[in-house]
Amino acid sequence: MKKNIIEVDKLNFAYERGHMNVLEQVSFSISENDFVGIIGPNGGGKTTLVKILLGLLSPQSGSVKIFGAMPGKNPHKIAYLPQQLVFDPQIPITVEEVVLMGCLGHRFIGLYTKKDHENAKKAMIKMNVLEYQNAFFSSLSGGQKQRVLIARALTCHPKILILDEPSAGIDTHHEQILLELLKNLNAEMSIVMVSHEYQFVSSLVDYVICINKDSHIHYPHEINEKNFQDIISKKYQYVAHDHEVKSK
Amino acid sequence: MIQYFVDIFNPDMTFLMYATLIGIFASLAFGTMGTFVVIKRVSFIAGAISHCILGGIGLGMYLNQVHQVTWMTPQIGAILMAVVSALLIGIFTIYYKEREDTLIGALWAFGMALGLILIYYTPGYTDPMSYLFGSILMVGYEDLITVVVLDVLVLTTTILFFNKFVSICFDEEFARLRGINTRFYYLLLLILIAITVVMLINVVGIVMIVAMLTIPSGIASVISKNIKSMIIYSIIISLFTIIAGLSISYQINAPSGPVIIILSSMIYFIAVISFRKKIL
Repeated sequence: MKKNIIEVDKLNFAYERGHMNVLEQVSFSISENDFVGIIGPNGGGKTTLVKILLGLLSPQSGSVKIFGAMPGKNPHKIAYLPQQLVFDPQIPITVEEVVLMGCLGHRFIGLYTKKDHENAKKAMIKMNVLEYQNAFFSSLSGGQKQRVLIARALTCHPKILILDEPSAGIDTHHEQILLELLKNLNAEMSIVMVSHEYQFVSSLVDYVICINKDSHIHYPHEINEKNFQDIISKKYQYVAHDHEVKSK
Repeated sequence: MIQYFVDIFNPDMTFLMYATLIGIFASLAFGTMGTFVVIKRVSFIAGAISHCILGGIGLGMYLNQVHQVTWMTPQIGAILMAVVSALLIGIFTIYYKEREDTLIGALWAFGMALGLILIYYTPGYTDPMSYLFGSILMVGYEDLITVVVLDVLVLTTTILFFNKFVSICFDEEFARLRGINTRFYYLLLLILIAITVVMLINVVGIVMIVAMLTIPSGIASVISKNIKSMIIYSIIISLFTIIAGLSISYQINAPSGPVIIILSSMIYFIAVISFRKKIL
């Protein structure tokens, strides 16, 4: 029997005390090597849920356990690909330097070691970006940047990879490359992919968690193009929120 | 210009040797911290810190002369005020989510006003012009030692936490997810910038510090392949502009701070036009 690595129980979250909940009574669990899709309408609370799983936001009530501990307590077991990386394109930073950042947090002081460079190289090979290692990060296309950021996330040998809307801003060709790479990675780790496009995740996932303030589990055979909109907009209650302001 | 290089070694003109040595040592910190000021886009924070320093200088003079607090020299006052203002800006923006530009505007003016009032109440005449516009040719042995000590402090800390500083400049959220205390490292970075600003007072003066912390690194960012090379280029450009500015100002008998700034600004404009891609 597979071991649960993420356990969420009756989670409630509001951005301001006394305001409406963005998430309400959300419960689910994810086991090792699961490939899970998190779907839902825009504003339904998907990214908020991800930030809680990462330990960037604290829930008002309910319990969230990652490897049996509070979120944020095992930073090297969990890797994250953000929806979009806002960065200054004029920073002269190479692909290798970006990937090496994945090794951060192992030591209190000092520069990257030879082992860090080896780990970064392995991650770049895995994500097929080694040929760009000396290129400026800002000179890459959206799809290439995304693979570099996944390589950065992989350098610490995580057990969970969370991707927030990975299909946003990339073309179909890069989407296919990404899905193929994720399929291979799934043998080593659990993958949680947030998307508002069911078609994008449907071919790979074991099941989807529909987040629309509350949560419902659906299996791929239950969802088709006709009922998808009904499923994600069921009991839809949008609560205005801003992900940046209240991150702790 | 050649006369300048001859006179550096003239035993009757030791001020020139000290000015040159201060320029050389200070360039190490300017290039290093300037790189972080540019990539973190905190040049106006550095500007606010530099203007607050006049308050520290005034406080040092006032306490030293009026209340005989002997350890409180204008230089100690400047360092204390620089660190306090850096922490204030950091804490207000992190914990109170206050608008950075408003806070910078308030501190900028507050420091200047405090400094002018305290200098006014200090007996004897003090010309604030040397603090505002620099007086590198007035420096002595003690100033040189101060710059070397501050240099060691800034460079050692930067080497130890280099990767963390780069990560909070590039992607703060990712750094936080890796378990790094991003607030602590942001405040530490501001403190190091503040210390560097204190070193710059003698070289270019309070009013032009922002330029010296941004222009050499701005030029370096245009031609660099990565952050480490940006720091090295920034140091070389700082060194070149300070020494060239000193020698030109010595030759034409002009104030050295403004000459250094004009020279580095001109190189910056040429570098941007020559190397940055033009957007049509």
